[in-house]
Amino acid sequence: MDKDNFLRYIYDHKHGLRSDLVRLYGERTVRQLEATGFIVNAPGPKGVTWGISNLANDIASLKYSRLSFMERLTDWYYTHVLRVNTSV
Amino acid sequence: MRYSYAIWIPATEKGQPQVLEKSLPKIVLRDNPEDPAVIIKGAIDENFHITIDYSISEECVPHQIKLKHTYSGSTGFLVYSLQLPDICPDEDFFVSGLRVEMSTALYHYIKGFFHKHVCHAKEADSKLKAYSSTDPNFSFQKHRQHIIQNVCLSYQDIFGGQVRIVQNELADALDALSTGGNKQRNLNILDRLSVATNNILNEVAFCEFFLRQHATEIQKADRQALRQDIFTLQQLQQQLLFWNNHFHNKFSYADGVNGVKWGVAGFCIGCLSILLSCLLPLFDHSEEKIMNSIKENFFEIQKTRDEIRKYYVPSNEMVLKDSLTDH
Repeated sequence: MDKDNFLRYIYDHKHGLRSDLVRLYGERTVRQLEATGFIVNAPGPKGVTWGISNLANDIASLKYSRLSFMERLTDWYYTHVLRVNTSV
Repeated sequence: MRYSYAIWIPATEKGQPQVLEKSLPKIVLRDNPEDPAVIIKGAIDENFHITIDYSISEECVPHQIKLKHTYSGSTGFLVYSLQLPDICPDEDFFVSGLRVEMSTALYHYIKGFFHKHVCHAKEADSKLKAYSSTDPNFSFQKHRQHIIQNVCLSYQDIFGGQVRIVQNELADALDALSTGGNKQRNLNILDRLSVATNNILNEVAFCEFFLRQHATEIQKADRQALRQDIFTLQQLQQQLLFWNNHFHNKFSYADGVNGVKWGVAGFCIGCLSILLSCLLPLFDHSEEKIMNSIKENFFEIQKTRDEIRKYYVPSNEMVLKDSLTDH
């Protein structure tokens, strides 16, 4: 498993058992995610759970949600009319 | 059984933690919407003992736990103990969780009694981990080394974790911008990351104070690793700001140039309209032409009438004309 795939997993799953996350990515990664506020914790009936934080949820929706018509139009305008080159 | 928890209240000056809030508002702890929520509300007395009222979902009867204050250190450390029965078959998951460790959520909540969020928003506060122990003869001095090491590791997690996240997300955002991904959204991601990193870098002051206070107790390798993470994060923040400004400037420039183009086009069209308005009367003879043609037609009619009159004589006039001719 890709060691840096943890962000994608968090964006996709949104919540789950902490022990599952530790099993997939290791204690250190989970602690780092908790410490940076990317995930939050709560006690649950099956054990400690993790949930995606507002910050991570915002980034997830910016990255993976469907583009609106206006966003597509603005993109087209900047790319084809204004010819803004954003290549790095 | 006795459970002990050592927590550090972030500070930048030496001194024992002071109570800033005597009671904290109710909060709901739940990650999975299908799980029952734990609702907690805390209060602290003048001896620093903490009472947490909690209930598992709104309908259930509230329960209470008492965290007994046992130690306050001059560098910001507090130690609490919790007495729980050895075996309690009907205990809830909130209490059974405390048998393992104090969750970051509860630590963060308790920190609210002593710590004001001056450098960042409350929800942007990073989470340190509490040191938990089941040692019946627990004392701060006995576990000092482990407690300090635990805070140091927490800071390594904060700065090292943010470095990993920013490296990943920055690379993704730059890739997306280069390969025609949505521009506005990726710029928003850079914005959010920059704000989050800034919030975390605000913790450096607390971390530096901690490192200074426990310089001899923290291993050199740990201290160096921590400082390296802070340095890398500062570099990454510079990169985030650079790319953010770079792209914002590019878009602003394109918008500006476009605005100037539209402005020049509007000005040209305006000038052309004024010029045409001025020149139009010089070429426009429509009224005069009509008058002339009316006049021409009128003269034509008169001429024709005169010619007709020349040949046409009414009957009385003809008789008179004949008699005159006879005479």
